[in-house]
Amino acid sequence: MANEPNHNQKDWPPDEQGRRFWQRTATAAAVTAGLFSLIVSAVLIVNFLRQSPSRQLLAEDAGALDNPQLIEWRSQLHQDPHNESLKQRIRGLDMQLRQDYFWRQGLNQRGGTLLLIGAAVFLIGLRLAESLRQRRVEPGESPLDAAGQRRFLSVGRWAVAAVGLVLAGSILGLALRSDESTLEAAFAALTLEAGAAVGGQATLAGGDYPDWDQLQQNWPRFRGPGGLGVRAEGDYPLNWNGESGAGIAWKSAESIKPGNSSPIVWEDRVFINGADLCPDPNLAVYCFDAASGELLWQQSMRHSPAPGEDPLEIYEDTGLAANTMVTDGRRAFAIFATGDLVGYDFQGNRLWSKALGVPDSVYGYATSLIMYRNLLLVQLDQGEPDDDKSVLYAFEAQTGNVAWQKQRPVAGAWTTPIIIRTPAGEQCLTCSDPLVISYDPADGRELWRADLMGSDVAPSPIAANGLVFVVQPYDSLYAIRPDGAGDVTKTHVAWKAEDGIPDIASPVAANGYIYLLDTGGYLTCYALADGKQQWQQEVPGGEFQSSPTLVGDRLYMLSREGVMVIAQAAPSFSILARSPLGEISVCSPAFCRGRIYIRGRQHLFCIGKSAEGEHAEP
Amino acid sequence: MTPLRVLTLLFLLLGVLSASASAIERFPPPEFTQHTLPETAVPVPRAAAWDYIDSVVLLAALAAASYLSLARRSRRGLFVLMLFCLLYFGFWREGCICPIGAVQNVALALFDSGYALPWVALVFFALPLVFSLFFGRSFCGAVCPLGAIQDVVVLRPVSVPRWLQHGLGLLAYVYLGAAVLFAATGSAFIICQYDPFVSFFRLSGSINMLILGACLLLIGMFVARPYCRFLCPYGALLRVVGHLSRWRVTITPTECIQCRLCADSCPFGAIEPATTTQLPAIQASDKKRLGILLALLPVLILGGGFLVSRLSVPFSRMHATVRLAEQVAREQADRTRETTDASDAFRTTGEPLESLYARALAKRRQIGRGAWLLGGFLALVLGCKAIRLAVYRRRSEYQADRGYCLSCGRCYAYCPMDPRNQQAQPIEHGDDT
Repeated sequence: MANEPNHNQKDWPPDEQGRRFWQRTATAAAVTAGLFSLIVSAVLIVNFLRQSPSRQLLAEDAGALDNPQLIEWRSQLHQDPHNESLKQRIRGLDMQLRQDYFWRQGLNQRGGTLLLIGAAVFLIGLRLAESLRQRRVEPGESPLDAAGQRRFLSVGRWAVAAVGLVLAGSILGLALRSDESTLEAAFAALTLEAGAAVGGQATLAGGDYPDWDQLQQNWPRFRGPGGLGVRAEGDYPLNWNGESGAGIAWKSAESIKPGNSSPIVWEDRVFINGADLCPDPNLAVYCFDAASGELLWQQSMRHSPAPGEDPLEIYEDTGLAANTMVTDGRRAFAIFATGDLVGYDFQGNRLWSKALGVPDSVYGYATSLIMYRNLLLVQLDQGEPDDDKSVLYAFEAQTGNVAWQKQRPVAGAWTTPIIIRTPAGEQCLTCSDPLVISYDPADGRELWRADLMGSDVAPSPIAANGLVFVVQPYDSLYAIRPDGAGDVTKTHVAWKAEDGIPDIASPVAANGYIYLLDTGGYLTCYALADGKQQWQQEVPGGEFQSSPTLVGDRLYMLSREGVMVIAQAAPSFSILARSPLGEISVCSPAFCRGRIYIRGRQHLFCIGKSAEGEHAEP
Repeated sequence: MTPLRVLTLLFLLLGVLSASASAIERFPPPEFTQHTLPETAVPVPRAAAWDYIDSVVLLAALAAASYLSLARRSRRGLFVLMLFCLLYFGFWREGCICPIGAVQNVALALFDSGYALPWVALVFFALPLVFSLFFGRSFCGAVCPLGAIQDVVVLRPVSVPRWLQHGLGLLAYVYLGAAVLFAATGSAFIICQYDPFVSFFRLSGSINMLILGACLLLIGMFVARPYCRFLCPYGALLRVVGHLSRWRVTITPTECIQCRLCADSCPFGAIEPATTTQLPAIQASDKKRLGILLALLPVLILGGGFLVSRLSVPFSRMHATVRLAEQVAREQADRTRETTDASDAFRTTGEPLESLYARALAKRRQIGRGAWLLGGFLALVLGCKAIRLAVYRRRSEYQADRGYCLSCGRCYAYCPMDPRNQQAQPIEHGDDT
């Protein structure tokens, strides 16, 4: 009020007296409303603090019944559930707390309304007093001269720059402080473990293919979905005896042609191939009813030697039918050591066949078939790296036409490729002497390679935890990050292990660990994350050529003598059961819908409940 | 400090605290009784009639505000209209729907073909813009309830230096860009989530938002309408459109005599002083600066895009799918981790983990692309602002800045050339409202 003239009120004109009266009145109203609001605020705050002494101030998630006494009595009642007196006390206190709650709630509502009214009167009074306050309007800023405008613009630009810098700094700070997302890694780990052709609906020309769920429910290729030898869960038998028939659902009656390939399963059908020499190669494909073991159909074809073809030399341990079939749920495909490739529909009608020529393989061609969407992929590695004989083919499943083919600078090998999915896309991972090569399975474009392998590579690659794993027999296990390009030999090997390295059986990995089973029966466990060895155990049972399978946290290991050793895998090793098949077996079992399918030297076994639902115990 | 000011500050402080008292938890379900839980009450859907009523009221209010600000030049009329809109759109309609939030509906509709844009949201989004195109920011001056609640608490506004105002005004574009990004990707409607005043309108809300709103009102007593000037995303749009307005608020109805009496009348710092008739001599350095700024603009846009794209991971966590996928991934990695309701619900759907992760990663990629655009947009705004501040302008009179003027009409009373002010004494009242 410094501007007010200092003279007697009586001398003021009536307008001025009125203005001053209203100004004082408005000020008094504002003060009164302010004090009233303060009192209401204080009451509300006290009410809030008193409503639950045990809770923290402003905690929004505490309950109105979080009363220490009530909690204590409840606890006592838990110990003495028939104490009626205690129940009465609890009910009384519970009722009182609820009544208090509603009383406080009503008080809050009334207080909130009074506070709003008080605030409104306070504001109106203040504004009125302010508007009635006289103040002299002084001329403001002078017109900007040239220097002033230049200065203003300059400062304005600096202010904009400062805001830009603060923003940039904030963004950088936020980006640095932000947690690294594990989603990509989780997705990569999951999809690498799931593997295989996750397709959904058909997008490629000419046909359809199964979706991810269908693949997971079946056992469509060597070592199951993705070729990983993993069945995430399921109730699978522990005990059986092939000789006595205990626990055996069925056993193929017919004498199927010999082979070291493994069975594959799609819904109610089990496929397997075999071949013999009599004296020319006689190649056969069998389809069994999964429920009863009835042979639904079998088809044979003869190998026709190409003109000038050398006489076929068969390595006895491998045979002519070591290559496991593959199915897309509509068709089933088989390839043999003769290089004959054939496809059938589910009724046994031959769709197409091709003679790729007898592969030049020291121990006999044994690579299994795989599929990517509607493409049938054939890794036909042979000869030496410089021979330019090795080829990766992609045939259209419906027609047999070549979708693409890729020459491979590798020697013959006995591995089977896998399809992996990474955040950047799908990859077809191959492993031969001397290269691990990843291709785009859609067009055969090479994505990356690593020069890590030596001669006679038999264990197939697997993927888990965002890494792919390849085995150089007797020598090393390599964990490779599959996100590289070009030659990644020196850049993308995450870790390497050298103890317990197998020569034939492929590794298996899940739940944070990778397991290696060598032919001598030594099982070695490494942590996936860092390659640290966890333990090594000798598995009784003799020689192991079949690749192990992980079902949940149980390892199924089939010895050459046909004894399945089932062990708890993690965190420590313990044997749960040993179940004999009664026949020699070197194949990898198929696990599907609670049953295990094992190929013995003479028979195909189905282990589990029989069609009638009986489950014979050994 | 006068006792009244002390009382004011104390009152507001206690107001903030006592607001928390009304934000108590809901009544818990009974335990250890035979009480039968009542059926869950479902809120009655918003009556369609209200859409029509709200639209008509908005149209009428905008027309009235434009008439009062441009034709009648009545601050008192604008103030009364503002109080009506505060009561109607604010306390009666509880702050929803409002044009500020409608920005998000429109953004989502533009980028998500599966989202059906309510016509009332489109009307609320478009009408104030159309009116701004013709009549300036009459919406801000008298119709917006968020502006109104701040306006009524303006007591002793201090002058914010114009350079600082230029800088802080850019924050509104950041908010606008972020709001559009999150809305367009279906992540969140952050304008609604962080509406600082809706808690007052509804007399209910989270403690954090009550505190934020109370703080803004406290600041607003001395820095007039801080949310409108420095944060409002819709205000940022209106600012741009306001520059193109056909008609606008003028301080003087006749001719400016450069008396300078109006220079400090605007609490929002929207009055630009006149300049001397001579522009500064354009020097080689000025041309060079302008050239550099123009040449730098594309680089700035690319750099901004790159910089903001680094935030795609934290940005993507605004989306429910990404949050769920990360939670599920953490639970998968650590089986002892406590699950959440969302992750439990997800597991009951039977959807494969891979599918969830793939959806989350696709959303993250989409948000990453959006972050590039957001960064480019922000850099463009900064660059354009800097370029604008590199050009000399000549003003023969004191005039309201087309972009910053909120059409509140406070300056009318200060112009001695206005016939209605010529009866006024040299001593003026502080504020006619």
